[in-house]
Amino acid sequence: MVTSPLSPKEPSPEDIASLHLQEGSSSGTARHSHTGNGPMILVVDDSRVMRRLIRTAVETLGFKAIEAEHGGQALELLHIPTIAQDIEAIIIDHNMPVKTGIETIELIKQLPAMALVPIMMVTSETERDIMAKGFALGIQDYLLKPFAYEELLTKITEILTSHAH
Amino acid sequence: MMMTTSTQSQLDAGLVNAVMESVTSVFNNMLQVEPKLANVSAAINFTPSGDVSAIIGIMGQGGEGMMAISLDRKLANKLVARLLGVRESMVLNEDRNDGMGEIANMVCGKLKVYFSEKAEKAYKLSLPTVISGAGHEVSGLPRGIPYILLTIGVEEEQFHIQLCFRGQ
Repeated sequence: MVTSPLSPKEPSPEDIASLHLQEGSSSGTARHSHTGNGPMILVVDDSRVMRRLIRTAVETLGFKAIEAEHGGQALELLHIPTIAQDIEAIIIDHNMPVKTGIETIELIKQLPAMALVPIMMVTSETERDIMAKGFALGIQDYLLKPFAYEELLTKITEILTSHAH
Repeated sequence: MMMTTSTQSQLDAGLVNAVMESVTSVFNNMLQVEPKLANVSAAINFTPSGDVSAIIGIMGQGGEGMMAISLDRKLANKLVARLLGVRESMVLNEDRNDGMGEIANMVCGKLKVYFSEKAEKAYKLSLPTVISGAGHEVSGLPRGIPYILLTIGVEEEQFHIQLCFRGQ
């Protein structure tokens, strides 16, 4: 089947309504009440086209995306309280310069404000030990490249839904 | 997709099939196009073709090598536009180079699994390097060892994948 990344299978109205309702959940309300940024998803990938593709998916689901080119930049962003409090989820590549995804996740999980924020790895790494390390550090899920755009939408929806529960 | 060229006996058919499976998976899933193997041949050294080459190194306990995707700028723009779901006119130079690096990275990611399973040893990939410009040259690559050259058709155009691997 031929599909375009910008004309994906739309998430159902129930999916989107469910996600937006989560913004008013107990943890969400506490973290959104101080800024006008609204809920954001942090996208960490050294590839600008991958960041752009993931941003499109995030915005299709009704969220804002904030981008970091590598783990070091992601950690800088997460140390800014007005940004950190609005982060609903983190989507991160593994094979990056400066810090790998795993090294970055290890540091993110040490930040108290990020302890419960779901993290999904998007990577072409298929070695089981990479994924095992990710899960040991507390990632919620992973998505292996190459992926279909619809799969990306579904995975993002799932990690946000699991976070709300 | 099975390798069916006359060079089959001279080349590693398993490797060629692994490359095509990898390319097909990436192109089907992320670019929504169907690649077709047009030809397979052997070469001694890496020879860039077209305007853009995306190169990735593979290294591990079992050996080292590299894979390069070479193609014309027009086709590179078309593939990256497909990846992003935008018109070709919206693909900037940096998008093209970055996108081709990402495509090479995904193709090589699956190839790494092939090498790892075959040798039962772990391999790593380098970050992709993309070189562009008409008549561009690439230095520092392995020389004097056999390269496999795949010509792959996509819609009405073609691109090349060159691959070499030296076991330890």
